Amino acid sequence: MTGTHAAEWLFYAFAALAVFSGLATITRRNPVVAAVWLVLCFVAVAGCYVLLSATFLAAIQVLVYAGALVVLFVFVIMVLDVDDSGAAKHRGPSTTATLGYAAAVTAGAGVLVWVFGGTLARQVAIPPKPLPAGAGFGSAESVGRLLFGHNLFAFEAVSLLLLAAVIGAVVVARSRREHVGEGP
Amino acid sequence: MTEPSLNLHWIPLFPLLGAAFNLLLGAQVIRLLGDRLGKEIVHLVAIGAVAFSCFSSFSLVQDQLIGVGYERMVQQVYPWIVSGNVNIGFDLMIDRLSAVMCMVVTGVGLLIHIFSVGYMANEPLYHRYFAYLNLFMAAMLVLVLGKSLVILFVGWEGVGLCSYLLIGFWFSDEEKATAGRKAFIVNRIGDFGVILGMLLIFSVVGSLDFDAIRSVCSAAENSPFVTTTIFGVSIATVATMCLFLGCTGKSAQVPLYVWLPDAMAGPTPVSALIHAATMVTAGVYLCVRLNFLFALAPLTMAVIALIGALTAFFAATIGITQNDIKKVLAYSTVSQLGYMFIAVGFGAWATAIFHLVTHAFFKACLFLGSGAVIEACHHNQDIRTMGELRKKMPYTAGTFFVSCLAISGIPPLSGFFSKDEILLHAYVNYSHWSVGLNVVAYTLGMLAAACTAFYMFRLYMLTFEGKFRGDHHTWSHYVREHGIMSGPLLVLAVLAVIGGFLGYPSALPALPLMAGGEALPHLLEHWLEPVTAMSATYGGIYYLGPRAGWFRDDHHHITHAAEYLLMGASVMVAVAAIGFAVWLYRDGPSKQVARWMESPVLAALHVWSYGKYFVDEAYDVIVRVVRFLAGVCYHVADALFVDGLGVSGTTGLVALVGDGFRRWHNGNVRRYLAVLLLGVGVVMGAVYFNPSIAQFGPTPLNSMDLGGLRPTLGAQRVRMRVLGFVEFTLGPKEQG
Amino acid sequence: MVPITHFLYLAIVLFMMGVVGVLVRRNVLIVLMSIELMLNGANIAFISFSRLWGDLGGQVFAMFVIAVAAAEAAVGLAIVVSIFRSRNRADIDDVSMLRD
Repeated sequence: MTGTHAAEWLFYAFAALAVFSGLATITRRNPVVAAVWLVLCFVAVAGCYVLLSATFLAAIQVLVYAGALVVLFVFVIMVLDVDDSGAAKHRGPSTTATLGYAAAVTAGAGVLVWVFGGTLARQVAIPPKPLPAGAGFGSAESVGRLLFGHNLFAFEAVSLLLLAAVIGAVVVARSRREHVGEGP
Repeated sequence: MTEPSLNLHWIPLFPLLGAAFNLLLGAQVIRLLGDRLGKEIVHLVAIGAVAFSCFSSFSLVQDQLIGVGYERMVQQVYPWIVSGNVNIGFDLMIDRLSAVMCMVVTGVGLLIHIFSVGYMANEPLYHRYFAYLNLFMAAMLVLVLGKSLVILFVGWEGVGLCSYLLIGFWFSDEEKATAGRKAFIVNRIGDFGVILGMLLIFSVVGSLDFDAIRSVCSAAENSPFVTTTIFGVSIATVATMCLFLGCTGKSAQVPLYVWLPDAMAGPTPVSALIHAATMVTAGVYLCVRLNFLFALAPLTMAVIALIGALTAFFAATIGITQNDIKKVLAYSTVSQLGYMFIAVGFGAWATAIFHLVTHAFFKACLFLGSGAVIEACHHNQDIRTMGELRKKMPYTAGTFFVSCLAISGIPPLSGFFSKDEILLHAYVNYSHWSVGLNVVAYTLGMLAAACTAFYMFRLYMLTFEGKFRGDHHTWSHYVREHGIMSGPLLVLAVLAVIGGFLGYPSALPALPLMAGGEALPHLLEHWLEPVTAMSATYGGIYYLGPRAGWFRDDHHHITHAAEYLLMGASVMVAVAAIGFAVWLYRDGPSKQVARWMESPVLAALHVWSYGKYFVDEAYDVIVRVVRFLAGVCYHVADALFVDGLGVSGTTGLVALVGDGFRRWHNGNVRRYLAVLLLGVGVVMGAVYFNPSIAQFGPTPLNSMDLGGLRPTLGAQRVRMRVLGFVEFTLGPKEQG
Repeated sequence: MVPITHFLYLAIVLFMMGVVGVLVRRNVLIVLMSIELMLNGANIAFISFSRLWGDLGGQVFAMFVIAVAAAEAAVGLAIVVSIFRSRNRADIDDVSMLRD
């Protein structure tokens, strides 16, 4: 059916976009450029979420990740005023880098083998469950129902975590000169 | 009859308390109360303690053993080692043999303590000396009063320790300290033998109590001691050989006598007490105490007799040429101990004890006399520089003379009776090697007697007669007698004279003053009969061997004629030797002897005798070997292997590994992350290949409940217990 | 219908890219961005499984991941600001203060 094929094509599009922009992110020298590519990646991922019937989450992804987080990144880049000197250009991959490559490749390969070769592959080869009609799967209402119901404790805990993060960020990033002038 | 007693422990305890007092408080007392008063207190405590023990033991013997007639009294002081089958109690026993030893030890000890007051008057470490002396008395009394081999061994070790402490009393002098060490180490070799013997006995009997051993021995040839063999030799023989090794150490026989002459480095009263009268007799006591066991091992008895005879002769020949007054007496002691072991070896137990007692009297008198002489000659011990001392020290000379007569075996002094009895038994008693051993023992004994008489009177003549050969200053200022030192000398001399009547042989005619004219029995032998009876019952084979031949009368006793003959022989030999010595040394160091020394044969003999047959030098070779091995052990095994490879090696290895790992910590965050991811990869691989390791909580494969939480945020109801009593639950309410 | 495995591959790829970015890049900010990339990969996996089993718990968890990622990024950036404020470079190799 067109719908099925459309889903497939959409998936490939979003997936390709996500991979490409992710690659771009990690390879750009200029952090601002990398941040922009990251936004694109996030949006592509949000698209994948929609394909997986996680509509609410897709919205949250765009709002929080692309909207708030990357903006924060850009602010920090501006604050730091990083000078992209060319001193680092001529150095080849260090031992650490090689190690890193090896680690990443090994781990990735291991995971792939695991996923492909293990029972998991057989399990996930089944088609996804047909969605129940009615209350939308992945809609704000259903997710909200869980958040404020079964997982209330975690929800509250995360809010506490965010509070801690806010305070922590403020405290950590405070300028030293302010420190000296004021009292504790 | 055995009677329980509650007072035995006081006998060794009092000297122990005295020692404790003097060790802990003696120095303070002298410091606080000044020299004179302080020293008074110190020696009063010491003498008091020994006097108390002496009085206790005498009264105990008098009241209980003689008066009431108990055969012995036992006290169980403390259940010491109770472990499985092993039950060793700290039990004391005073029976007839212990009584004799006790009285001798405390009596002579008391006299020597009194003598020490005068001899050590100027000693700065006065309190320590008396403390050690008391400690020695305590240990010796424990040895003598022990009811089992273990307690005896406790005392044995104790006297060894005190011997070391007292020989090396003036330890700042290297030689004296070495002498103390030598004594201890040589004794240790003997102790090894005693321990082996004890273990062997324990393996057969299951206990080390004398009664238990005695009852196991009562089956004579059928006793397990005889029937059980090691390499074809009965356990009785092996055990007694091992015990005898200890005796050669403690009682200074060949081959372990070498410490005794060196032990003369200690103060002279110590030499008198320890190395003449008491400690060195411990070996003899051990043998007599275990006579029932030794009697089951005829081979050992023969060996004992042989070694005793050899030692007696050997030491006597060395004594002839020595010039140090104490060394002469030391070799004399070794020789006389040899006599005691001859008696033991031939099964004449009571005779051995008899000689032990008489020897204690006259030897202590000789040593104390020599102490007075040394003090008078201002710490000079070389008899070549003495002489004419009789003029200024009549009491000392007199007692010394009497004791010399006693040791030479002149009747009616004590030495005659005991020594003669030994020689008699040596000739007639049965032994394992009867045919030759009787002759050898008797001959060596006679020769030793001749030498003894000779060198004792050489000593006397050179010391007390002739003209004074020292310097004039000493003669006028130092040579004199001290009353407090003469008192004990007199007492001992009297005992040396009358002590012989403890063992008056039946052969001699009854003296009119005894028991209404009837023959005086051999008091000591009768007294000790319960102790020695058992060994006499072993088939009656231990008396009157084939040598007895024409000595024997129809009733299997020795004829009086035979006894007279032997007595006469020994007296003649003694008188001849004395005469020879007196004639040779009438004017001091003999010119005839000097002329004889020009002959090469005699000169060579003299060198050998004077050099103690170079036994010490021979042992030194062994010592060097041991030292070398110890050095190897130290430098190679300890310093190189244990310290170098082991300790330093381990630390070096740890440091090396640490250094290696340290290089990974260069602070580079990316490296840390890389390694972390590597680890993650490893874990994931492991889980892939063995999924069971990722399980958490009880599963069919793994029933161990790790008690963990399954990580689902907020989805699981969790019941928690904190601090052991606070309980609370988290999570959604139970739903369907 | 797209089989879930495709989404899982995507998740893996994104995750690995994030790992590589963290290890290789020296610029601190790029590193932090790579971390976000990793988290996204994980999120995709969560959502995929949530869709597979029809269990919304996966989505809830993914939401929490987003929240935590935000908090972590905030604090991380604060630290970056604090450390690199006075320097000219934002090189992660500069902060080797943990060295022995």
